[in-house]
Amino acid sequence: MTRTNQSAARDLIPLAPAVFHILLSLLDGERHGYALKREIARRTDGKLTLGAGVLYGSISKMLAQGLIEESEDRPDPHLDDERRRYYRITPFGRLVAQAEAARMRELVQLAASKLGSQPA
Amino acid sequence: MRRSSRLYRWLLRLYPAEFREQYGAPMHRQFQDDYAEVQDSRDLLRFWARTVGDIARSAPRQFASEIAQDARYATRLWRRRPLHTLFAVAALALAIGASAGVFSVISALLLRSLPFSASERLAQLHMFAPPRSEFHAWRQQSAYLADAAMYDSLDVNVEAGGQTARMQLTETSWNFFSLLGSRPASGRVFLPGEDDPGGGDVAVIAHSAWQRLFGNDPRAIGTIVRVNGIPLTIVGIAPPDFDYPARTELWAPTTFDYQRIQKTGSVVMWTSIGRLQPELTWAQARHAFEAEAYERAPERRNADVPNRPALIPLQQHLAGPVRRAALVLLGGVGFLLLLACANVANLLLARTIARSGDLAIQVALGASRARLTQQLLTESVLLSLVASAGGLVVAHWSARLATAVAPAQLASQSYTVLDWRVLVFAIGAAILTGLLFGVVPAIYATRTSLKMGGRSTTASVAHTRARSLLMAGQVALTLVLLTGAIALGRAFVGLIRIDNGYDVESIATMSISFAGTNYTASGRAWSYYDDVASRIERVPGVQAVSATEWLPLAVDAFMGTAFSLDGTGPSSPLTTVVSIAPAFFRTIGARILAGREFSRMDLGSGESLAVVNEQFARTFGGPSSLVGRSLTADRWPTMRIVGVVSGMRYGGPAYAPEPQVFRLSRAPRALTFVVRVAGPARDRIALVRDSVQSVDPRVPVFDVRTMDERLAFTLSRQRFYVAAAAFVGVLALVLALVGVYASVSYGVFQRTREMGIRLALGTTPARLRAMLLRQTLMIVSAGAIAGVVLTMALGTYMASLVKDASPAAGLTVVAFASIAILAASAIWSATRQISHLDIADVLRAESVD
Repeated sequence: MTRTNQSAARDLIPLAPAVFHILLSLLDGERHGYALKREIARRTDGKLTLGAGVLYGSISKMLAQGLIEESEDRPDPHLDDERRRYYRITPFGRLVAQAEAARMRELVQLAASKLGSQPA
Repeated sequence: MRRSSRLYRWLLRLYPAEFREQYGAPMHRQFQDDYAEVQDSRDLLRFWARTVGDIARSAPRQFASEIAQDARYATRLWRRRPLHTLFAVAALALAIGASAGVFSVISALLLRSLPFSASERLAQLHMFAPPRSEFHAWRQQSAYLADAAMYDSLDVNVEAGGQTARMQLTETSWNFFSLLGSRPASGRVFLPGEDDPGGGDVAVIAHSAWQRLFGNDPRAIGTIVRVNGIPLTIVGIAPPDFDYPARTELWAPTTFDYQRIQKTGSVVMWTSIGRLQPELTWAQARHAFEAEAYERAPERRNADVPNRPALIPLQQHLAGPVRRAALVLLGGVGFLLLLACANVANLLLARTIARSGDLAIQVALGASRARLTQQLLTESVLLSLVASAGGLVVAHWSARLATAVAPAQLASQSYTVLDWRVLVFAIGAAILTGLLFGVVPAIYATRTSLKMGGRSTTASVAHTRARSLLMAGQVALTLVLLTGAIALGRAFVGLIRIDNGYDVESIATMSISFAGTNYTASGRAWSYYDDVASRIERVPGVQAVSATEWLPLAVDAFMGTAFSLDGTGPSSPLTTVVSIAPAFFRTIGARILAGREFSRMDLGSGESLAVVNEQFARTFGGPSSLVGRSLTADRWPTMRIVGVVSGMRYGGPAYAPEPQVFRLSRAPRALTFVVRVAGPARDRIALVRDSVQSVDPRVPVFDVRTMDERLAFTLSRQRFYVAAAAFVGVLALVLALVGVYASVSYGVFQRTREMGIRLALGTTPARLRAMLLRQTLMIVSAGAIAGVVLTMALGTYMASLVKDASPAAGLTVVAFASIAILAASAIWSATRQISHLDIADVLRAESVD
């Protein structure tokens, strides 16, 4: 990664929770919008359910920022609906997700040093 | 399911165009998937709540981002054509600003509520006099009024806290404040019975006067003030900003006790106000009022409308004639705003066409009609919002102009643009006009430019003719307005330069009133005068001092009669009589044509002397033959003429001097000192005022103004007409130039094919441009000639606004020439694109069509 990419990544964090979750879900592979929503709801035990507006609003912004891109391939044309669009994470998106994770790790470490690690 | 799905599809319209095109389908799909999981009606409720919440959160964000994108794009475009942008913004700013300025007056006078409780139920009882002796019995049994109060106002000397001030006193019935529902800031208002003759020696003081005279001291309550010498006890302080009626500073419950406070010469008019019975409508109350009024005074039925009894809402009455003028003006500036819209729409249309290549590319990249419309409308609304920010400056200036020429009656009604209604109006006008003038190019863009290149050859002859007609009409209008503005301006300069027969730059003036003092006794006024004169003369820079009971430019009332010479022969026309002090003419700068003026010595002689002016002398043959003869008139002592003086324009530059007779003041109740100083009077006036005030603090000095200021005040109405005419003239000129420019740009585009062929046949671009210039100037000239004819027709009307303002032929030529030159440069720059025309391109585009 070039230096400019790294500083561009730093400019984007902290990420909105929805954006971070979308990136994390896409790390496992390409997904369409509705699958992203379900995956995120599953991972957070239903605590974060993205409405269509917020979901596609985030997707539109992330496309513009170059965090994700639309994928041309369909996993299996028989299984799928033509109307669905698939998204995948870009290398830059991966870098931003890493930067955000690092930021959170530091934050958690700081909190642990102050509070002591306590059972959740 | 079907209905919910349709509803969601409809709700998706809340998103901006591009987003909707991109994600509308998957969002709808997700909605359907989620909806399928809904089980019962409670679930359904929660589901819809979530959906609506989601839209409410995300739609504004998407809008903001698309509008920001469009705005960035628009600013880039504007920067590429700065002159274009400047003209469009200027035209809109002037038009929106003028409208908002007029609206600020309407808002202050008619929309802002009066500072009284339930003020919409208060009424002015116009041309109706309730019985003064049993006023309270009358109001208590009134069928249509819940309450009524009576008042009269006059200027008085008020001695308070060791100083004396000139104030407006309002004498009221005791229930004046309770009728208005106004509670005092401190102390109390009047009690029942305090308005009986000899009833109460009490007064309520205005908040501002309390601050000024008592320095916010609460112990003011209980203090005795002397009003024209009569002691009254202050019992209350009015609420802040309460100055009804007409900037009153002191209220006393003495309206039924005429003798109590001395009225020095001023005419007292009683006014009644009332509050409607709670259950009555205005129509019912009016009906009952008119029945009573005509029963008391049946002859009023035959009076002119302004003199007939009427129950007028107090707010409307306070707005007075300004209300009508402002509403008419609003119509006028509204028309200008529409004209501005039409022109800017034309300009944007021409620009959109020039950009049709760009737009075609956007379409090729997948932008929809809705997206293009949104982009163009964002651009136009943004343009008009920027213009309305500039317009607020114009509006502020208009509001100040309006305040100078027709100030509001109450402080709470002052005109300002910092009023939420005015701001809403300006922003609303901006958005509306933006949509209005943005719609034309947007329709064009979505209809035509979706074809490649966007060049249409179908523009009909009728269209072109309509455009020419519009252009010519606008030029005609501009010429009329511009000539009018120049003529008014020139006439105004003439008024300023006119010789009034007295000096203005170096004359300071100030008034005193002897009311409530014992100077009114015979001879005592002159000892006061001598004291004042000798003190003023000691002020550095003072060259001469005199006084008069009637100063030029300060006209309120006059005395006059017709005189004869030596008791025989024909009598003069109606001649005003002016009482003055010695050395008046020398001080104010009038010339003695024959004989002499009054001297200090004349005061001692018992003889009545007179100086007449040249206009008076002219009716009897001439100045020199009049000195030494005597003036006689019914009920006047015979006066011996000692001199003839040059004429003075007492009413101001617009009025020629009239026949006048001057005599020495005998026992004046009020005087205006006239002081000639070296250099500008403004620099010395404070020192002079202090020296007058130092003679006797019980005699208040007021109306301290230089003659210059009085002249400016006298001319404020004319100045308003000139400023308004100049403003409208400039606006019309800007609009006409925008119109010509846009029209020519559009024409060039329409005739691209013709141009291409001409170029192919060997014409040079310069020749083509010259041809267009010639053709367009023909239209402009046709309009201008129509304008000249109209101007001539309007000449007499303008002369009625400002003296000598009827436009001369020379002026019309000047206006004609400047319009022609400016139009020519607009045309020349609009045809600039021709020199970049590539024949091959043009012909290729045609073959594609």
